[in-house]
Amino acid sequence: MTERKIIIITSDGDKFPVERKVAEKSILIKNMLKNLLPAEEEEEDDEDEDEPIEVPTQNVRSAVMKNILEWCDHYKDYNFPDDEQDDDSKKSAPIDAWDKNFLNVDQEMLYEIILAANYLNIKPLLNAGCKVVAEMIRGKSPEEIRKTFNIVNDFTPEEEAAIRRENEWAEDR
Amino acid sequence: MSNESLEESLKHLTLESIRQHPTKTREDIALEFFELGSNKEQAGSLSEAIDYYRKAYKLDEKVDLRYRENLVKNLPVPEKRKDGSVHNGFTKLDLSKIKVKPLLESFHDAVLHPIDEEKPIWLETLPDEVINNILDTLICSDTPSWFNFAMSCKKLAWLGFGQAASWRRLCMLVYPRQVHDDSERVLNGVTADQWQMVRIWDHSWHKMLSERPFIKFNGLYISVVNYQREGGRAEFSNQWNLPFRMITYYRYYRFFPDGSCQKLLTIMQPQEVVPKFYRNWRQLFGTSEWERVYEGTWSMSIDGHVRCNCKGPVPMYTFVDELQIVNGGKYARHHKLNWKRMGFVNKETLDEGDLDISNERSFAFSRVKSYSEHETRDVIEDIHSI
Repeated sequence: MTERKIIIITSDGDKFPVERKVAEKSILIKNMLKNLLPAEEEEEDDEDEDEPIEVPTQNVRSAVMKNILEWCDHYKDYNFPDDEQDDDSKKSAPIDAWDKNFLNVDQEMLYEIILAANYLNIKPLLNAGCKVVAEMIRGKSPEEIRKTFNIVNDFTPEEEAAIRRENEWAEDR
Repeated sequence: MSNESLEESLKHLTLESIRQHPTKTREDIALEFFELGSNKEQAGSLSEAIDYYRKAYKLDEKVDLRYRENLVKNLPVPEKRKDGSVHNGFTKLDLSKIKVKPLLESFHDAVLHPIDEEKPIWLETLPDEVINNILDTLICSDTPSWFNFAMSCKKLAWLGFGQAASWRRLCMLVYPRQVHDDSERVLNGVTADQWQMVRIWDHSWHKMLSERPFIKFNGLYISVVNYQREGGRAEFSNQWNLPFRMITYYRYYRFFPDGSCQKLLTIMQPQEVVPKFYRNWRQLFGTSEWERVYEGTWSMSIDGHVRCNCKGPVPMYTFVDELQIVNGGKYARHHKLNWKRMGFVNKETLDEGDLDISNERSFAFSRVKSYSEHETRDVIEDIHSI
């Protein structure tokens, strides 16, 4: 039985034909396909069998989708452990070397990939993206963080001092 | 210049060599002595501090004024705030009217504002749930960075401090690693299920973390004891005054989540001990009498009474230290260990005895970067962080 083709359509109208297991790295698409193809074993005489399934993704532009699919393709044969329980050791582990290299892109692309991973529900990619941002924060003072992210200090000096005083203890554990 | 190299360069200076120093004036050297004195004072080593201060004043009686002037001059340019104001950190702030909880809640709808209007704020494009993921990643991997990130502006303060998620995560990281003995589990119903435990604190994770004592593992506990001792007056001397010497010693404690602990009583200062106070201390410390680390076990009660049983200088005895986790002032929560009891047990006869603790001082916690479990950076770095 041949597998039906899947075509992902981006917000700017580009079409990406992909293998099903690549597309299913996105839980959003996986659930969509589940609804479109309810039965695992399709009937032999299904007329639409050769008709590809088109999956529209309104929020992701072509340049970003290309990257996302590269990531999905790299991990297509890898089963990520169930992410339901939220495990602190996974969060604190250093970022995977391949992911790190993959996410070594300009700022705009990085944030678009994170957003797309969030929208398409690709948890491992989303977490990897968050780790990259966390790396930019690591070891910096609040003032250095503001400079890095172009955020202005909008506290009054009193607010800042009071919030610091009441929460600073919690950083030691 | 690092403390050690500064000390090294000053130690052997004679008055003569100060006068003829090729590059530095008397005042410059006085300033260096003063700086070193101040470093020593901060490390709790008072007699050395006094010694260096005295040398500094001898060279320049106005050295303290110059030190302050220098400090102010070398301050970084203060940051500009959103309303255009700058604040140098010297004016005393009145915080008495600020209630932090409602203040954080008032930041609920705050948005990010740029420093440079021309440039984008990429963070702004991320929904709150993704920012929360970043905060959570920081808490798990490097908690101080979570704090600094949340301190950067109103919106991040709300997301990082105002919501329950951060406090829940911290509780989940902290309490399952605490060590309770069996009677605690039976009598006080201490369980590893934190969803069960948090009920005792009105279902508030923040309240639990604030009020339920815990031992911290990402650093060590230091107790600095200074006392005066009669100095060496020669026998039959008719010198009328009795010279005194200030003696400083340190006690160090480090705890591990597997229920083991190690301690050290020494005259060595924190910057010497910290890079060696690892589990493999045997390979790192020498064999002098000030480098004898003793290992043992610890456990605590739910109200923060810690009991440590360690080996000691007499093999026949187990040495028992009982300590109470307390806040350091109003804000530094679970920061100190007060002495309750110091004693020993004879391993064969089980006879017990108490030791005097009237001269002992509380331990204070000191974070060490490389002691955190997942830290991969070099050990060398933390010498500067303490």
